[in-house]
Amino acid sequence: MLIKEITLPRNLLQVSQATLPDQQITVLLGPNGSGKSTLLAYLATHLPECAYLPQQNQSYDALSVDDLLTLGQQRATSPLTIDIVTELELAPLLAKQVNQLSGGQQQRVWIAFILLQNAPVILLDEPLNGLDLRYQQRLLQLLPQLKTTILMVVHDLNYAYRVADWIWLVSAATLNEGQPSNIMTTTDLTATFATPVSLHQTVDGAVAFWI
Amino acid sequence: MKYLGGGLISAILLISGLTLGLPLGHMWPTTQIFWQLRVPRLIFALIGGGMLAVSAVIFQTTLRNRYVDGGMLGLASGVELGNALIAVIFAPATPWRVLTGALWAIVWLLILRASMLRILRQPLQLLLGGLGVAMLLNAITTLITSNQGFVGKSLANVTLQDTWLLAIFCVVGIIIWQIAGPTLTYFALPQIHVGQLGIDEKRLSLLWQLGAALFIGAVTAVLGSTFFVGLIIAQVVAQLMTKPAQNRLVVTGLLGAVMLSGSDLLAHSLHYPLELPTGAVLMLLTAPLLLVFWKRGHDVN
Repeated sequence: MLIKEITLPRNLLQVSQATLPDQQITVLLGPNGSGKSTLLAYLATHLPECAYLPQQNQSYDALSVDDLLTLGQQRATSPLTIDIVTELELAPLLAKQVNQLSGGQQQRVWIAFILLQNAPVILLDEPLNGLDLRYQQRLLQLLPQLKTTILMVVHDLNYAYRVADWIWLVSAATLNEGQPSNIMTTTDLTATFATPVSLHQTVDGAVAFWI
Repeated sequence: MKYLGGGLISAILLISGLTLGLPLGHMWPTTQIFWQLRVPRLIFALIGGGMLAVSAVIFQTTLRNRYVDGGMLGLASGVELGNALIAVIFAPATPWRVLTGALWAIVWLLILRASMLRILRQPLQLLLGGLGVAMLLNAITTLITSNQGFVGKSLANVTLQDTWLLAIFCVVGIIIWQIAGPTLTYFALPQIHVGQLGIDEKRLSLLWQLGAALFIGAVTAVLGSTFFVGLIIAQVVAQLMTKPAQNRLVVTGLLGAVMLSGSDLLAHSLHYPLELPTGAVLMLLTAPLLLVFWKRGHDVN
């Protein structure tokens, strides 16, 4: 998918065109304040078919997890082949009120709410917030199985490298995109985050970023 | 919930029995007093109390703000100002005050939706903005009505016409909400999610708020402005039963009916033959419920 003419307010970012590969995972990287969340919110209003998870989510009234997930499913034109409730281990939480769960549990519920919509494009703003290692790993395994177009903001470079098929790197009002191996170079990452980033590769080819 | 509903219905029956049959001034009520004064007054208090409380649930839910009600938003004050203007300019319309009150509430709702409700999104901002509007309208009403011989608001002067008009608006509001369907749950979600689910939130909130405005306008025309009352009753029920707003409407209405009919019974009988302002007694009785609200809120936090 080709997205043209992205112009964010306050001159945060101006892009003539950017590629969002179909049915692949694109990770949006960039320093704080570079406009990542603003970019996702912008795309959410310009891609009507998308399902967008902002950073902050809350229920404003008594709402059970089951009811919330049912609302999400209502949007799906075809059911998901993957059992999201099982994948994210939400069955024990279904009868509970959303606003009485812990932060990490709520994040899992909101992620499930978005995924159950089975939208052709999914925008996730820092979905790892509050998730412990177990559920970070679950999400890492789950997202590629969805076979849908995903754009997500992630701060963990190692996670980003593992999950991403494509990288958007925003910095200084510009967006660089490409394969992770081409974009996530130590030189570019060090310059983007103004912090020395080194890369270590094991004998079996696994890559680890250190700061 | 069964116990809560059963307890409230028992309370309504008890209050109704006392209101209709209580001998005041060492006299049993005559047939004329019973049918022309006590029955309309009781029905108004029961229906009006329910409408007052239910309207608060609607405003709190659709505005995603648990600190508002029709009084706190300035709607009730707008109704009082509008009806005071009518009384000064065209006094023969006064017997239709419930009708004009409901219409004024619609006018003020549309004004608020085009202005304050669009701009003020933060809960505290909306609360302060609403109170500011209410105080301003109250001040204008006071200036208009001073030295005009207006008496304090009370259910003592409820007429049969007030009561059947109130009942009509109660039915109209319920019909509007039937058109809206079981959709209050959507307002539990952040606005962005509602839009993504393909729901036209603007239209939906208008439908719900129109019914709530009719309710608050019709009741305020007779009872006068009440601050915090609907807010507290709605929140006490929300704290007592963790159900979605749509499922709380009936119980909230029942508690509202108990509170207003109980307040009116006290206003009528405590200092007989003097009538106390029902709205003032209602606010006095509602204040202790704040403790339930705070205590439960504290426990949850």
